[in-house]
Amino acid sequence: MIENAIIFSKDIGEALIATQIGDIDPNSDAFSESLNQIRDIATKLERGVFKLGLNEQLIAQILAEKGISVTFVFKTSMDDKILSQWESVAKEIAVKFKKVYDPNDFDIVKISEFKKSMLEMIEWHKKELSPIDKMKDALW
Amino acid sequence: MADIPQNPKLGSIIIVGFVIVAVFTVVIMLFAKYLSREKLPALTLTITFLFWGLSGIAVFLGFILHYINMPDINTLIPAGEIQYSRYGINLGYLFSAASNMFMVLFISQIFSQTPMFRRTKKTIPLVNAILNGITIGLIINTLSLSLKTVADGADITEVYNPQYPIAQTIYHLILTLFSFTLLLALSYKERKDASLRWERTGFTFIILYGFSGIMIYVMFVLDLIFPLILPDIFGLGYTIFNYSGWVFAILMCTFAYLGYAMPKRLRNLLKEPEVN
Repeated sequence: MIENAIIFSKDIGEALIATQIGDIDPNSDAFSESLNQIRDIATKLERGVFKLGLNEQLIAQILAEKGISVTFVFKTSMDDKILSQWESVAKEIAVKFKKVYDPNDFDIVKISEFKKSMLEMIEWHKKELSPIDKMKDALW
Repeated sequence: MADIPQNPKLGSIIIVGFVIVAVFTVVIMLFAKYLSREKLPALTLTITFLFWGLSGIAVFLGFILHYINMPDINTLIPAGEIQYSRYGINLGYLFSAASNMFMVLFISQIFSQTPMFRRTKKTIPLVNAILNGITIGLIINTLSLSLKTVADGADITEVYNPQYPIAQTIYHLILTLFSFTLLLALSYKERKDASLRWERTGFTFIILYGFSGIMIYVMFVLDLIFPLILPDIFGLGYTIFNYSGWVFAILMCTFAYLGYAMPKRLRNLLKEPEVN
């Protein structure tokens, strides 16, 4: 299951949004080492998707775009196919975030509003089964 | 002034009969899936095909009654008497529009996880239902106008002779194109993401089902257009396009059976051998 979501700005090298979804709080001391590991990759990776094993239980999927990167942290038991489905959610979040984020004109209100819609996207994706799973559930 | 329809050809009637058998085979298979699993998308898809089957029955009955009353292809049912095939075709389009409504609802249920349906929730199936409702309203209006008599001021050729104007047929084609293209696009994307061969094949059949579904209505529109622009070659109706439309309907049902019902034997055949 997805544990948390973090958006990094490559310009400032810091997390702009770090929100807990599952059991692990990205702002907790227990996660700080993992957060540093993620930051290293997320702020340096130019473009693309990178999977980073954090420890025996956690894996981070980092999607880098120009200027920003979106990271989801999962339990390692997550299936590869499900990880790739989350990739499309990360892509959508990245595209939308780039529209509200301007490194030269940082607007905290816009960022916190975006956090709400990002959580909505994630919750929807969690709640709804993938089309393949729905087909298997109803017909196949 | 309305025209008098051509008499249906026996070949056309027989092929519609085959289509009905094919559609109801799919309806029974899908309903069995619903009964065993009680999942809403299975029921929605069953209703989609049920309406399509009713569409086929309406056309079939219209053709049969027309044929019984006037089996000679060269002699038309006189003006002022009931033009059965026209009632059948109009009711066929009415049920087809109802089928379209449920098809988009089914798409919204299966592909609910996609950003499009997350953002719009049930707006797309609702708007689609309203637009198809317009088709149904237009057809009901056409049918009620055909009940006007000469005493009510109707032309004798319009009495018991509901038309199906090209504009209305094209409007229905556009809505059908929308629903099948939506299914095609989403299934194509899902097919790319599927990791197992049998899942990919399932979506391939659904894509082929969507393509056949579009081709049915394209053929029916061509069956209307070509006799108008090239009457010397295509005669007055029931052209090769009409037959082709119904052949695509049989193909659509075959692909629907393979893609939606997916027989166990086929799935087992497509399953990759397990790696030890």
